[in-house]
Amino acid sequence: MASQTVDKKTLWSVIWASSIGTLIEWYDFYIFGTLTVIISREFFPSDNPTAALLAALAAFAAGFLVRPFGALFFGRLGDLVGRKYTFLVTLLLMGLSTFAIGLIPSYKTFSGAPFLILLLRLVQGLALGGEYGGAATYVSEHVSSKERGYYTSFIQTTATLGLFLALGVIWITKEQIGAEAFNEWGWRIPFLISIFLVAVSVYIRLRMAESPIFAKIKAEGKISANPLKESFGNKANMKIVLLALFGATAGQGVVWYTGQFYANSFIQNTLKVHDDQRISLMLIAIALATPLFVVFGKWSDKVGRKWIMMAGMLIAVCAYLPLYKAMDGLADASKKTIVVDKSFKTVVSVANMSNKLDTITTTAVGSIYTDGTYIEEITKTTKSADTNKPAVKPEIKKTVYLSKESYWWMMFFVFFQIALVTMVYGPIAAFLVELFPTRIRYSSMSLPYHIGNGIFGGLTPFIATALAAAGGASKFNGLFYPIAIASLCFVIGSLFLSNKIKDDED
Amino acid sequence: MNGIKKVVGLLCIAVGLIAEYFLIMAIADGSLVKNPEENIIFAITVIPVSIPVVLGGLLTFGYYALKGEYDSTE
Repeated sequence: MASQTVDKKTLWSVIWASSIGTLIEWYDFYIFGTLTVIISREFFPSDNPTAALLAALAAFAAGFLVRPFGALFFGRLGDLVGRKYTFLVTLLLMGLSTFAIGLIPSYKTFSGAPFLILLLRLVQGLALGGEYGGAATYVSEHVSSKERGYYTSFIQTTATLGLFLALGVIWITKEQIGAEAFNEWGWRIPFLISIFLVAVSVYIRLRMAESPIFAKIKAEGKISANPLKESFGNKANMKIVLLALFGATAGQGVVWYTGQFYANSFIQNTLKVHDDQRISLMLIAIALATPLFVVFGKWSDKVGRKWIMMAGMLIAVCAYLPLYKAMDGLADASKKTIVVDKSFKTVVSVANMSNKLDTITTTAVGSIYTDGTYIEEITKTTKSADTNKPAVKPEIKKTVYLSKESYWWMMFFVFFQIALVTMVYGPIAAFLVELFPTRIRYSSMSLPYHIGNGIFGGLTPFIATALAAAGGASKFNGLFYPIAIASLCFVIGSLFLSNKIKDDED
Repeated sequence: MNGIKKVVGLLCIAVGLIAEYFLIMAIADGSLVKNPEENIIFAITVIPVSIPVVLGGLLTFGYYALKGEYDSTE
């Protein structure tokens, strides 16, 4: 492979073209997930059971079912036709479907909207499944094995930066037009601007040449006639696919989802930290940790990929429980001393469906603690005028405003988790690329990557939530899922994987 | 080292079977998701993918490891 390397200027163009496209794909994928509440309200009304079913399908299928299929479909195409045209197609599919989501009228005016949204979301999942393997393969086939970890690490930053971009664009749009306008129509803006990002990226990618190694084997007639059969029907290669999955990508997937999504969900839903604080601390932590992808990628060129990834998994296994307990302590009122406790009560009467007056009592309690934390608890109790109606459970909304010191500690704990993500994820593109030969590389590396991330990683929020909600369980029990998977992966990876950096013999 | 790899293979087979049992049980009692619609979708999307991957993949990996297919020859 070393003989196939290109000059530095071309190489940076290759990295730029690949990374910017992958970044946009991640951005497109995340904005749907980040705006789930608004999308559900606009397109999937809860009083319509079919729409509710489609909403759930859109949420689960794109992440779980479709991504590995996208990996198979586009992986095969990439090994047959070439890397460049395949990841151009995935980029276009992702961009156009994202743009189209922003244009679809709401369910109120167009009853077919839920089906269209589902279809477009599935296309997004399919495109994402095909993109990553193409970008990683394309970059790696332009560089020597001595620098592969460093250069492919720029591709690795895109998944995290995509989340950063999605959160940032949503936040800025909301700040500029106001929360009300954003909820009404402004949520479409992040979807619509995707078309400009994609246009720029397609323009850049169109100017790139095919991967030199793939072009060479194509010219020599050495490309695989049936990449899927050769990848997954061949026992020798299948053994490597399984090893890549259970020795690396499954553990990497759970560490990735825990650091970036479970941490966010824990701060939001369990700790009830105010949205502005949560989003800003997530953005700062992501921005500070992202350069570490490149640091660990480059380091893996010197010390090998395996032990950096395994160290990331081992630290995650040991650190998750104390880390989440420390995060909980920052927002837990029972561990703080109260200074001021003020409560306000408002009582209003509202006409109900039977034209009788229900009594709604809202009690707001604001407490300030010695460390500067402010906790607000609003309880809304509805007493129905209709005595036959069963009592309605009071709605309680708790919001925690962290003190300055706690805010920075919380940011540090998230940063630490994302730093672990960079250890397991930074070198993985180079690691996967080196496992498989050029002729079947796109197909072979895409599947374990998307199963590891889509299924093992993607299941993290659901299994963790189920474990935390199980009878008598503590709120930290959710962590046992990523701890168990990362432990198994650490054992398999440490014993079975080689730390040797392979050169390409094709 | 090769002996340890075989033990890990056996462990993978056990973990695969236990994990799949708990996953199916959790889906059956609906504890993984909040509402019934989500549970149906979760069952029809996760089971067809998780069975071949978790059960099939982990069991196959465990079987290969147990058989010595990953043994080092050095």
